[in-house]
Amino acid sequence: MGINRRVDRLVEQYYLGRISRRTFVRRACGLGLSAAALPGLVGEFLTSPARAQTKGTGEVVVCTWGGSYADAQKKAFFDPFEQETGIRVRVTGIPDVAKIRAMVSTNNVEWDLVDAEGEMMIVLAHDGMLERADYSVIDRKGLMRGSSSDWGVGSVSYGYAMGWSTKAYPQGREPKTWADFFNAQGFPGRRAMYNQPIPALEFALIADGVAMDKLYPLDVPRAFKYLRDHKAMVNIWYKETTQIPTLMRGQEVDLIEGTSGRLTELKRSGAPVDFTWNQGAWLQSYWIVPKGAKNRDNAMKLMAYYTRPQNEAKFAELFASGVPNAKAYALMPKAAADLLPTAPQNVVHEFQVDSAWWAQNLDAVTKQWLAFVGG
Amino acid sequence: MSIRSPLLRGLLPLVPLLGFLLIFFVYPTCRMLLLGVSGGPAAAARFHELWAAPLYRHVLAETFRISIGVTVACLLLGYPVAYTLTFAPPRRANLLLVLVITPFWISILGRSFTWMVLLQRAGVVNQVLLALHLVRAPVPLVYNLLGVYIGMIHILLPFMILSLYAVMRAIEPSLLRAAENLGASDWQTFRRVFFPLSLPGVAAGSLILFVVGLGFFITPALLGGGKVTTVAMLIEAYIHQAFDWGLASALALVLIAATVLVLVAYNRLLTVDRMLGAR
Repeated sequence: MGINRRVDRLVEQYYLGRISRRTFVRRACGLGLSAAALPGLVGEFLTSPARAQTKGTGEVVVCTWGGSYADAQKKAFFDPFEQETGIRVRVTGIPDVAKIRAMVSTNNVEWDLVDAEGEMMIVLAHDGMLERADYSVIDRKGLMRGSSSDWGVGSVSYGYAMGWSTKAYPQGREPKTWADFFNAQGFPGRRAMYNQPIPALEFALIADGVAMDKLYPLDVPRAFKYLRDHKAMVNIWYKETTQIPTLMRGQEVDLIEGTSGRLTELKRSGAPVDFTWNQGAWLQSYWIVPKGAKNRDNAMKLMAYYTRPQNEAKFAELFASGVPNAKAYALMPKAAADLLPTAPQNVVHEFQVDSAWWAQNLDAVTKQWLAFVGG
Repeated sequence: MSIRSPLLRGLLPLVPLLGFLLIFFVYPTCRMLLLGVSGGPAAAARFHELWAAPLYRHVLAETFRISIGVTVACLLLGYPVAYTLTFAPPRRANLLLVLVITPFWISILGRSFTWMVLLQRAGVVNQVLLALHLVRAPVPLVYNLLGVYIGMIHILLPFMILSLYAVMRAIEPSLLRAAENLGASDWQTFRRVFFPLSLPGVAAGSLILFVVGLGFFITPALLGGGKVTTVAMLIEAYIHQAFDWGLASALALVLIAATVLVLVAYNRLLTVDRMLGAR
C-alpha cells in the first residue's frame, strides 16, 4: 500500500471516530508526517474538490430502482450533472443480473451505469461482465472503506437493525444486543425475523458470541444450530420489508429484525417503536458499468460526479440512505446523518455485510435456509 | 395460395392470439422447463435432490392439502350462494352477482395486506371478539395456516360461485316443477333433481380451484408468517434468492406432473368428462 493511501486511510479512520486524536497524531508521525501538517491534511480531506474533468457530450443510460429513490437521485445527481457537463442522462430500470448477462453476451449493452447490489456486482465481475472503475477519472479519496471496489464506487448503503416496541420495553429496559433478542426469559414478547438468510445468520452468530470483526467466513452450521435452538421463539418470518410497519404498528410483535430504513420511518412517524444501530448490519450497493457499455466514459464521469460530497449530502436529505463519501456526512444536518447506517456516529457500532462471501455462498445457504424455515 | 380446408379457414381468426401465446407464453415456459431437465448428470442430481430431501415432499404434500382444503371450503360456502343467486328475482340476483364479483377489482396483494391488518392480534376481528368477551386473549388468526386459508378462500370463492351459478342457471325449471307435480317434497326435488344436475358445476369449479390453488404464492407467503411453505413459494425463492433456475424448473415440473396425476385419478373416480357434459 502506497504512502498516500495509508495517509488517506488514517485520516478517514480519525474522521470516522475509529481512532482517537492522540493515536492519529502518533501514527501520522510514524508515517513521516510532521504534526504541523496534520490540520491541513484533515482540512483537505474535508474540502478537496473532485479532480475529475467532467465536461462531455452525448448521453449516459442509467439503470436504477425507480420510485422516490430514483426521483431523489435525479434531483441530487442526474439533473445537475446534465447542467454541468452537457451529457444527457437517460434513466431506466430495474437492475437485473440476468438482463445484464444477456446484454453483454449478445454484445448489445443498453445500460451504461447500473445501481447494483453488492452480490450482483461480485457475481458479474466474476463472470467478466464488468468494466473496471476508472480511478483516473473518479476521486477515490474520501470514500469510506468498503464503499468502493475495483468494479465501481458505492451508490447507497442500507442497514438492518433490531427494533422493538417501546410499549413492551420502555426506556431503560430496552434490548441492546442480539443476545437480548434471542433471550426469551429476559425479554418476554413476540418476535419477527426477515425470511432470508442475509443477515440473519450474522445476527445469530453475534448472539452466540462471535465478534463482529470475526464473522467472515461465516460459520454456517453454528449459525443454523443457534437459529434452530431459538426458532420456537420467533413467531413470524415475514416475507416483505413492507410488512414491517404493519407488524409493528399493529403490535403484532414486540421485537423485530428489520431494515433501518423502515424502522427509521416508523420511529419518525411517532409509532411506539425504537431501534438500535448497535450490532447492526450495513450493506453497500455499487455503481457498475457493464462490459462493452456504449457510453463507458460518460458513465465514469457520472460516477465521479456522484462521489462529490456536496451531491451526496443533498441526496441523503432527500432519501434516507447511506452514501459512500465520508465527507458528505459533515455537510448535512446532524439530525439527517443520525438516520443513516453509514454516518460516522452510527457505523462504528455496526458491521458491513461481506458481499463477496455471500456471492459465493448464497445458493447453498439459501437452500439450507428454506429447509430451516419451511421444514 | 388460398386455404382450402374449411377447418383451417375457420381457425384463421385465432392466429393472432395463438401467435401471441406461442411467443410470449409457450416458448418461454418450455425454455424454463427445459432448464430443469438439461445438463445430463446435473439434471439427474436435481431430481435426486428433490426426491431425497424431506423438505420437498413435505412442501408438496402441504401444497396439495391446502389446495384441497380451500376447494372443499369454497364448495361448502359457495354452493348455497350460487343456489340463492339462481332462484333470486333478477334484480336482486344482479345485485348479488356484483357483490360476488367486486373482490376481483382489488389486487391480490392489496387484499392480502388488508387481511393482515384485519386479522392481526390488535386487528378489528380480535378487538370485536375481545369486546364481546368471546375470548380472553387475542386469537392467532393470521401468520399461520388459518390465515392462509382465510386469504385463499376469499380470493378463490368467486370462481367457485360463478362456476356453480353458470350450471345452475341452465337447469331447466320445468324439471323442478315436474318433480313437484309428481309429489316430491322440496328436499327430494333438491336432492334427486337439482343437485345431480348441478354436479357438472361442482366438478368444474372444484377443478379450477384445485389447480389454481396449487400455484398460490404471494398470499401464503404474506399470511403464513413463514410457517406455511408452498411449492410456488419455493420456486420463487430458488429463482430470486438462490439463483438456481435449474432446481426451480425441476420443482415446477414435479408440481405439474403431480397435478396431472391427481387430475387423472380424479377423472377416473368421478368421470369428470361426463359431468362436464362431454358425450
